[in-house]
Amino acid sequence: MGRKRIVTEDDLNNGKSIASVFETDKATRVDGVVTQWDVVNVRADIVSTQWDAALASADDALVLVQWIESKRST
Amino acid sequence: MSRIPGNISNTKTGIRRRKHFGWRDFDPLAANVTAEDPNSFLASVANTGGNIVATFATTCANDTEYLEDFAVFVIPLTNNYGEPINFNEPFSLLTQIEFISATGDHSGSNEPELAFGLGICENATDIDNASTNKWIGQGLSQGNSTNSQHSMLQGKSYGGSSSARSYTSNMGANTGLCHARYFVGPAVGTDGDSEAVGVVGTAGDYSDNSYAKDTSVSYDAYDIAQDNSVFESDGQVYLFAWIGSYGNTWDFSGGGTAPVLTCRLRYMVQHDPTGWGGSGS
Repeated sequence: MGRKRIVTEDDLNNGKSIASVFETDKATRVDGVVTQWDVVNVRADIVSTQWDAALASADDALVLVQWIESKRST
Repeated sequence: MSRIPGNISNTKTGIRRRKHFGWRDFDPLAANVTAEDPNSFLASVANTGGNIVATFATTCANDTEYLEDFAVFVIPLTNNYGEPINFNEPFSLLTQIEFISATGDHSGSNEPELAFGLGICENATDIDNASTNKWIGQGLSQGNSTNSQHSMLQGKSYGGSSSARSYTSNMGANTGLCHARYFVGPAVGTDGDSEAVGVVGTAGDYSDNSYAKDTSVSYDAYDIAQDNSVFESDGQVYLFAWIGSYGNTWDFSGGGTAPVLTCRLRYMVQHDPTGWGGSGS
């Protein structure tokens, strides 16, 4: 019998973890040379047990990242 | 004149009267304004009942996304009593950037994308000189004119003698009201350190729609991450308005109509000239 999954989307949605995601376009200009890059801005409070589980398991990590991404508004 | 204690005619004696209450409209035509438009973004600017009415130039060949390059209007920042605010003193600054209306051709290709906002800097002139001036600013840029959709645009000093900017993805319809809180010090000027200067902006709809918060961008934080880019001055803080185009060049001399932007830029200040304190003893 395998380990009970700690990080599920339902757990995240029903728990105290919160997240918001949006994008910004960043740039610097140094001596007239512009360097541009895009950033995904993630602001998240993740319940510690869920964070620790995600660090310990690739499957849980994927669930967590996909859940954060689901918070992106368009 | 009666000098009877408590006589209402003498109630103002010895009382320090505040000069400013709450929000102040930024007036680009005020007597103490230094105006610069080195890249000729605007043909004219007017103040109509507290609203700024900016007519863009017929042509503009300068394609820039950096707010210090735009038309700027600079004033010394003062507190509620009209006293100067210095960088080595604690102050809080809240700004409100409000899109009112726009006419003419804008937000398309080869048309200006209307960008406007406020910021603070340490020099009264030559604002776009990144070697001698330091700044941080925040405002709006109208990426989609059909639904009055805006992005938040921020700019700052970078690398000691350069600049940087940040532009959020286009927010929802009617995101024409933007608020920003500035964080300055105490580690600025003589004691300057990174992460001692920042601005956080939020945006949404107007009062008649209950200030409905934009759902796509929660809040956008932007700070100065390098020691050599924070304010170096202990002296006067300057507030500046900026109006220009986020990218694009245009030429309406052969057709089309230069846009006219009407916006309102306001700010509110709290300040303690006695200093930060905090000796730990």
